[in-house]
Amino acid sequence: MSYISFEQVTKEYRMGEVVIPAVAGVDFAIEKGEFAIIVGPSGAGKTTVLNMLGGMDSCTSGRIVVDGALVSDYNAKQLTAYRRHDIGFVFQFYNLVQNLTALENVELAAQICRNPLDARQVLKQVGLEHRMKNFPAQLSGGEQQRVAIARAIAKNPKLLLCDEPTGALDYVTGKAILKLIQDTCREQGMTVVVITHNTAITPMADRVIHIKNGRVAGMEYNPNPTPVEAIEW
Amino acid sequence: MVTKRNHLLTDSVREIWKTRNRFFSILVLTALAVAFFAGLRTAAPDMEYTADRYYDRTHLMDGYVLSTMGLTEEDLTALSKGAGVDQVEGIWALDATAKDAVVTVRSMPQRLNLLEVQEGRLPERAEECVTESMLLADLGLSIGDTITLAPDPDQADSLLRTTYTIVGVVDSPLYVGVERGSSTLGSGALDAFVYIPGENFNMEVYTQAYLTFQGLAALESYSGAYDQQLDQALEGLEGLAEERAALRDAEIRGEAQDTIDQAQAELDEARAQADQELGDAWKALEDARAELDQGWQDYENGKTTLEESVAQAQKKLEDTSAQLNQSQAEVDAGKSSYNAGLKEYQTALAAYEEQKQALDAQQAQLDEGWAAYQGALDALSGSEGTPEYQQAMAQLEAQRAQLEAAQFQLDEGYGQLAEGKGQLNQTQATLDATAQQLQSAQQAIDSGWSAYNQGVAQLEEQRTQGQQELEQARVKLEQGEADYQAGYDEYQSGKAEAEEQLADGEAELAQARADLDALEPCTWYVLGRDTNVGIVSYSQDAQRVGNLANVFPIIFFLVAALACLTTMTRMVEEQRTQIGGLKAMGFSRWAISQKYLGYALGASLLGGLVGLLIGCTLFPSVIANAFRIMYALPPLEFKFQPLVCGIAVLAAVACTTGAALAACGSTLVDSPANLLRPKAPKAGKRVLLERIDVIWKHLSFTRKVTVRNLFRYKRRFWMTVIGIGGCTALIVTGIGLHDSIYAVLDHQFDEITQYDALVGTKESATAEQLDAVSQWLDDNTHVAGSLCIHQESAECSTDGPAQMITLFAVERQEDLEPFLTLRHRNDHSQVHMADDGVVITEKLSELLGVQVGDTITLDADSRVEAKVVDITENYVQHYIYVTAAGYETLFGQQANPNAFLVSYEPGVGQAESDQVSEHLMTMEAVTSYSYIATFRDTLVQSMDAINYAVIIVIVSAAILAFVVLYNLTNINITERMRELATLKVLGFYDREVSAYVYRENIFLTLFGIALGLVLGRYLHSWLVLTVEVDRVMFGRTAPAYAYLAAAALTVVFSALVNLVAHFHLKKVDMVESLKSVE
Repeated sequence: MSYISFEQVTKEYRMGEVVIPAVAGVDFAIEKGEFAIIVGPSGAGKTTVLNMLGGMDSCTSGRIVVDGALVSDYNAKQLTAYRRHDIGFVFQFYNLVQNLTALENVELAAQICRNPLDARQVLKQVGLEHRMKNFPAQLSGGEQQRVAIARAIAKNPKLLLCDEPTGALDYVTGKAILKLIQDTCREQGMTVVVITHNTAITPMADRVIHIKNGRVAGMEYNPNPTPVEAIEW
Repeated sequence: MVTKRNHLLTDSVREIWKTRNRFFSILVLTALAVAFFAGLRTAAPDMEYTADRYYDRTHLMDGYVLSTMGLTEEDLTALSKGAGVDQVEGIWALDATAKDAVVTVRSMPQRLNLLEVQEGRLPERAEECVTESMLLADLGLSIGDTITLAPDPDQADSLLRTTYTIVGVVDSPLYVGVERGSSTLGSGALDAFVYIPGENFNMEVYTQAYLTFQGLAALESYSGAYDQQLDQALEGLEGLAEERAALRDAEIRGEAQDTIDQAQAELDEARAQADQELGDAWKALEDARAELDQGWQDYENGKTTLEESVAQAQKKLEDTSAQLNQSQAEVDAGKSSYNAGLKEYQTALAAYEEQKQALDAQQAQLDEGWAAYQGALDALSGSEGTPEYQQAMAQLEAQRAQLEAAQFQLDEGYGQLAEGKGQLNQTQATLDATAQQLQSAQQAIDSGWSAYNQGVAQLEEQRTQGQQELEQARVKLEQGEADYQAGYDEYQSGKAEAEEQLADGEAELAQARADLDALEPCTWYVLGRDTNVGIVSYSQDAQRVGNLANVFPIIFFLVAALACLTTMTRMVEEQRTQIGGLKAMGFSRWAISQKYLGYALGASLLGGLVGLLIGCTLFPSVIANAFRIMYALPPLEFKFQPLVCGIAVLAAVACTTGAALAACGSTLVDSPANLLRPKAPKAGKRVLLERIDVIWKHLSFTRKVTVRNLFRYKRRFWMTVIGIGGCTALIVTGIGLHDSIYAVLDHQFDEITQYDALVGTKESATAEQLDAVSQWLDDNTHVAGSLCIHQESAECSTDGPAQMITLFAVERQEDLEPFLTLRHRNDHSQVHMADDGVVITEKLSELLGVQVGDTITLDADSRVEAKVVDITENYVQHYIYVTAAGYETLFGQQANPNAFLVSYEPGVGQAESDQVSEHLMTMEAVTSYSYIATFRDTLVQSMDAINYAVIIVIVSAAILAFVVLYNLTNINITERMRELATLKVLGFYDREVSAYVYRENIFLTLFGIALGLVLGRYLHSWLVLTVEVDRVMFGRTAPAYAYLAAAALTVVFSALVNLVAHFHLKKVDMVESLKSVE
C-alpha cells in the first residue's frame, strides 16, 4: 500500500446544466518520503488534483488514500482537520497574512496543530533568522516564499504540497526555493508534492506524474534525482 | 456597418447584478437619508400648504380691526374703501357661560372666516347654533340638544335669545389651535366657540371687523412674501384707523356731552321749581306763625284780665271774711266769759250739792242715832224702873241730848244751804241771759259766713269759666303751633330732600363730566392674521418638526457616503487590473469611471427616489396626523416641493457619487502598466499596543491580526464605528424620547400631582357653603383627603411673550404636601414656599429665562411683580405656588378659597369619581369638577402622536444599523477573501475563521456602541428640546434602560449580521487562495 494513492479519482464541476469534467479518472501512488512532481500544461487538471489531495476539495468519485486514511470519504470538518494536521501548503503567491510578521505568520500555523516545530528554528532553517520581525511587505518574493515554506513545515505535516512555488519568482530565487523544498524532503524525510507546468525541473524529483486533459498521461520513477543546482531551464 | 454596442454598460449592469447586495445597501442607506431629510423637511411646508388651502377655502381674514368703542356701519364702509382692502365683514361677539363652560358667542360669518361643517349643518333659523366638538364633549351634549348661553349681566341685553338648538359641529379657521383666548368670565379662559345667527345680537356697534386684502389670498399664508405684504397692507390702514378712531371719538364724546348738557338743563329747571315751591311753603309758614303769635298774645291778655278780676273779688271776700272773723272773736270772747261764769256757777252748785250730801249723810247718821235710841228705849220699856233701866234711861237721855244738839246744828246747816241755793239760782238766770245774747251774735256771724261762702263760690265759678275759655284758646293755639311745627318740619325735610336730590343730580353730572374727561381716546387696533395664536403656533410647531431635519439626516448622509466610499474603494481595488486592461485598450478615464460613478449614481438616485417617495408621503402624514390632535385642520394635502426634494436627492447623489469618484480617482490616474501589476499589498504596521510587550505577548495571533487590522483600515473602522454609533444613538434617542414623553406623565401624575380631582367653587360662595362641600368630602368614603385652596389663571411674563399659568395659593405648605409634591428635579430635595415670593415650575422658568431670585410679572386681577423663591419639578402645564400670606402681599387682597384639591383612596376609579362629581355638582358652591385621570388620558393621546415619530426613529435606526453592519461585514469578507481562504487551507475550522472576522466586528460594535451612547445622550437632549411644546416639559435625560436597550439592540443587529456573515464565510472557496493577486 502506497503512502498516497489516487484510484480512479474524478472531479466534475457542475455549471448549471453543463458538466465540466476537470479530472476524469486519475490513478497514481506516491511513497512516503518521496519528492513527487505533478506536471502538466495549464488546464490539465493538476490544480484540481492538488486541491483534492490537499483536502481543499472533495472528489466526485474514486478513492484517495493518504497514510492509510480514506480522505475521499471525509466530510467538511474532517477535511479541515486533515488540512490542519496533515498538510503543509505552499502557494504560488505565498498568501502570507500581511498583518503578521514573518515569525508570527509561522506561529499562526503552528498554533493550530498538534506537534508544531519551533517557529524560530524553522525560520532559521529556511535562512530567515534575520528577517523574523519583518512584515511580508518588507520581504522580497523569495523571502516571502521562504516564510510560506517555513509556515508549512512548522506544522510538521505528513505531506508538503507546493502549488507552482516558483511561479512568481525569478530564476535564481526559484532555484533556491526548489532547493529548500528538496532539502526539506531529503533532510526531514517529508513527503513533498510539487505542482508545476515547468517540465524542466522534473529531473530533481523521485517521481514525476504527467497530467494531461484530466488524466494521468504517464508516471515515471527516477531512482537518481538530479540536484537542483544541476538543472538549468 | 457594425452596430456599436456599449459593452461597458453591459459590464456595469452585470456588475450591479453581481454585487446586488452592495448596490442595495447603498440604495437603502441613500433612501433612508433622503426619506428622513425630505420627509422631515417637507412635513412643515406640506402642513403649511394644507393650512393655506384651508385658509383660502374658508376666506380666512388677513387682518382684523378692533376698536375700544366698537365699530359702526360707517366705519366698515370706510374700511372697505381703505387701501388694498378686498372685503370687510363686521361681526358681533360676546362671552357667555354655557353650563360649566365659558364660550365666545359669535355671529355667523357671511363672507370671511367661513365655517367648515364637520357634522350636522349650519344654522338656518335664529334659534339655531353651531359649535365645536370639544364643547359637546365637555358638556356631554350632542347635536339636537339645546344650549343656554348666559352672558355677563352687563351685556344681558345684548343677546335677544339665550337658548339655542345645536345643529352642527364646525371647524373655524380662526380657531385651529386649542387656545380659545381669555375671558372675564369664569376661570378666565374661554373653553369653546359658539356661532349663532347675527340677528340674535342686540348691539349698536360691531365687536370686530375682519378684512382681507387684495392679492394676499394668492400668496402662501406662512410665506415671507405674505408676511411682508400683510405688514404693508396693515400699515396702509393706519392712517384710516386713526382718522376713523378720531371721528368715532368725537362722536361718542359729542353724544356724551349732549347728554350731560341736557341733564344739566333738567337739573337747573328742577332746582328753580324746587326753590319756588319751597319759597311758597315758607311764606305760608310765616303767616301761620304771625297768626299764632297774635293768638298767643290775646290769650295772655285774657288770662291777665281774668286773674285781675278774680283777685279783686277775692280781696272783697277776704275783707268780709276778716270782719266775720273779728265778730266771731268777740262772740268767742263773750262765750268764754260766759263759760267761766257757768263754770263758777257749776263749781258753786257742785259745792252746794256736796254740802247737801254731807248734811244728808249727817242726817242719815242722826236718823240712825235716833233709831238706835228709839230702839234702846223700846228695849227698856219692859224693864222700866229697874236700875238698869234707870241707868240705861240716863244713858239714853244723854244720847238724846246729843242727838238733839246734832239736830240743831244740822238744821242750821240746812238753812245756810238754802241761802246758798238762792244765790245760785240768781247766777243761773244771769248766765242764761248772756247765753241768749251770745247766740244771736253767733247767728249774725253765721249768716255773714254764708254770704261770704256764696261770694267765694261765685268767684270760683267765674274763674273756672274764664279759665276754661282761656284753656280752649290755648289748646287751639297749641294745635296751631303743632300744625305750624309739622308744616315747618315738612318744609325742612322737603327742602333737605330737594337739596339732596339736586346734589345727587349735580354729583352725577360731575361724575359724568369726569368720566367723559377721563374717557380714553378711541383707539383702533389693526391687527394681522399673525396675532392669532393657533394660526401662528401651528406653523411654529410644524417648523419644530422641520428642525428635526437639521441633524438627523446628517447621520444618514454621512453613513451613506462612508458606505459608498468603502464599497467603491473595494470595487475599484478589486477591478484594478480590469481598469488597467481597459486603459490599455484605449478607453478614456471618463469612460472607465462611468461604471463606478454610474454604479454609485444609480444606487443613490434610485435610493433617493425611493426615499423621496416614502419620506415625502409617510413622514408628513404621520406628523400631520399627530398634529390633528392639537389642531383642527383638514387632512394633509401634499405640496410639490421640487427644491427640497431636489436638494435631498442631489445631496445623496453627491455624497455617494463623490465618494465613488474619490475611490476611483487615484486608480484612474495611474498608468495602465502599473495597474496591470498587482498592487503592492498594504504594509503591515506595528500598532502602539505592540510596544506594550506585556499585553502584546499574551495575545494570540488571531487577536494580533484583529488589533492590527482594526488600526490598519481606518476608513472602515470609522465608518463602522460611526454607523453603529449612529444607530445606537438613534435608538437611545428613540427609546429615550418615548420614555421622556410617557415617563414624564408618570412622574407628573404619580409623583407630583398627588391629588385626583380639582373641584372649583363659586367666587361668591359663603363660608358655610364651602364648609358643606368640605364636610361632604370628608365624609365620603372614596375621598382620602381634601384641601381648600385659592386658584386662578394668570399671565406670567418677563420681557418676552407671556405664558398662561395656574396659580395656587395655600395657607401652609404642609397642607399642600399630601396633594402636591414640590421638589427639585435633580436631587428630589424639598422645595420651600416663602411668603415673600412665588415658587414656579421648571418649564416656566425656562420659557421666561428666570432663575431663583429673579423677578417675574404676574398679570391676574392686577399686574404685580413677584420674586421667584424656588423652582419646582413639573412637566405638564405651568403653575405658580404661593402662600396665602404671600398672595396677600403680592395682590393686596385675600386669597379667597375657590377650589378643593381632592385625593381619593387607592383603587378609586372613574365610576366612583363620577359619583362624587355628580353629587358635588348639585351643591350650591360647586361650579366645576375635573378628574385628573381624564386629563392624563387626553395627554397620553396627544403624546401618542409624537410616538409615531419615535417609532420612525427606532425603525430607521434599526435599518441603518443593519445595513451598515451588513455592508461592512460583506466588504470585510470580500476584501479579505484570499486571507480567509488561506486560513481555511491552513486548516482553520469554520468557526475559527468566523471568529477571526467576528473579533473585529465585535470590537467595532462595542466601540460604536460606546460612541453611540455618548452621542445618543446629546442627540436625545437636543431632540427633546426640539420637539417639546410650550405647555409640557419632557424628561431631559434618557433613562438607563434606553441605553441598555440601545446597546442590546445594536448587539442583536450585529449578531444577526454576523450570523449571516458566518454563512458567507462558509462559502468562501479555498481555491481563491490559489488565484493570483489581482
